[in-house]
Amino acid sequence: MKKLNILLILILAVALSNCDVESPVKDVKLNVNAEVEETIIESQSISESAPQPVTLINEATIGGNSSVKTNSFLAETSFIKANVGQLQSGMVAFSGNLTNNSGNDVEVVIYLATSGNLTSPTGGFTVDTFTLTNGQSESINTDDVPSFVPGSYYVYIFATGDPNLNVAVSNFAVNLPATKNIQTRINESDEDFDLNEILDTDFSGSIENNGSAPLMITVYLSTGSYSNSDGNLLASHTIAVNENYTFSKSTLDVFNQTLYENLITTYVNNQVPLYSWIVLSSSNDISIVVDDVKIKSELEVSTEL
Amino acid sequence: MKKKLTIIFLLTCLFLSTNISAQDYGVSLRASTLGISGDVARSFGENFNLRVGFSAFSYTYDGDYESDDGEQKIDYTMELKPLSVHILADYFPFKNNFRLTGGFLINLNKFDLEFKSGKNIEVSQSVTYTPEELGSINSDIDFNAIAPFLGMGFGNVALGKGVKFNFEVGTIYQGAPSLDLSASERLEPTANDDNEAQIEDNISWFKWYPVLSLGITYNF
Repeated sequence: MKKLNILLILILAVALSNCDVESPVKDVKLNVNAEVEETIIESQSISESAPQPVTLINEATIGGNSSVKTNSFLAETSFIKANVGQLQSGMVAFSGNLTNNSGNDVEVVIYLATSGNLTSPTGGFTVDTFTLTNGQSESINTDDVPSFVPGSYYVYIFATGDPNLNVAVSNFAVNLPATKNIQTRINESDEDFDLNEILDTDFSGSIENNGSAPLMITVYLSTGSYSNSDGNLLASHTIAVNENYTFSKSTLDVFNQTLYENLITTYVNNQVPLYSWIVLSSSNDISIVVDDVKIKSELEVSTEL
Repeated sequence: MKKKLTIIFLLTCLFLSTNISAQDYGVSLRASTLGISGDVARSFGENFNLRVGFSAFSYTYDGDYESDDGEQKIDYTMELKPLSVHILADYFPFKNNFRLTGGFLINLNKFDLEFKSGKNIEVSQSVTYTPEELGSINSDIDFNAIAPFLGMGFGNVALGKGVKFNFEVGTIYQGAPSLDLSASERLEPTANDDNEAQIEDNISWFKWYPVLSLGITYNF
């Protein structure tokens, strides 16, 4: 019987080898059911503040003893500066009264910078610029400053014009926005880093601006408390009044994916915890509740190979 | 199944009902592509034999297939279980051992094909499934229940007594295979019409099942 079996297998092998036999699974496509897996990461509101004006300069004169002068042959630029302190987000604005007593027109630049050692408008960004005619007294109220990296800032008022500069400044104040800081810890365990998994993390949700002023959303990545200036601005967007804004990494304005991936890679290599921050800021009170913001890790997977 | 058994029973009765001498009988045992075959043959005159018998075997083959682009590797197991009852008529044109054979088989062949991914599949930057997580695909393959046979060979129970060798080559037409795919786990979408059509096409050669047999006969 055993010999018969061997003979049978030989016969079968010969017969099959003479047939034009293809693999039965040739060109079969494996389709994989890979449903989107979604993990909602717990997020929490860390801080909240109401809008408030902070007076920076009560009374001062540009061109007088209280200003710093930078001399040039044809014109003179003088400035005064004030320490604004820690700013967390955009939507800050400046207000005050300026009076030109120089006898000639003066160009005024209101400038924001992180350095306290500037002598000209460089190294920061311009908040407002205008011409103050001779004898003119003007109440200024700047537009909201665009989003910027959180940190310690100085505001400068540069005046350029006649060598006999004399511009009076009074009640100059910064109008700090209302803010709501929402933090999410991206990696759930300090010791459990998976670069790819973190790269797949998305920030998404929807916010309806029920307030009476535009609401700015800014997204940061940091390794700790974002107010300690290590936040890295990834994206920002201004939400109009009554707008219901749905956002994600792919739809956020100017989301810096390259920066994001570089930071993640660096942080993972250094084994430090990662946080994402969403900062909402507005010149009026923010009426949304934190539960409206969903931050989730979403694994994007394909359904077919 | 009941119908098939009825046919077998009636043919066996016919086969045994005629009053003939013992020397016209022979029993054979063969190794063939249909498996281990056994049959009883009876001669009707110098030119005809009638044979009734069965074949059975089980054959398993493990293989793999990799797509040209290397994206997919599929491991598969084919389990072929030929099982048939044959009723054949031998015609001896030269009244010697050479015969032409025709008839049919009650085809109970079973052909199972199981396959799965032969390697991990990455579906996104962070999601990779192992073959175990992906699951497997099973296919039940059916053929025509009645399959005609044509062949030729050597062996005649009417010639001589004792042990003789016999040989046969031929083919069975068992029809185009009909396939039913089922899949488990994450490969569930693989059990679709496109893949069924593809596998049916890949095994379409199987509708002509080759028969090659070699064995011994004891002629009474």
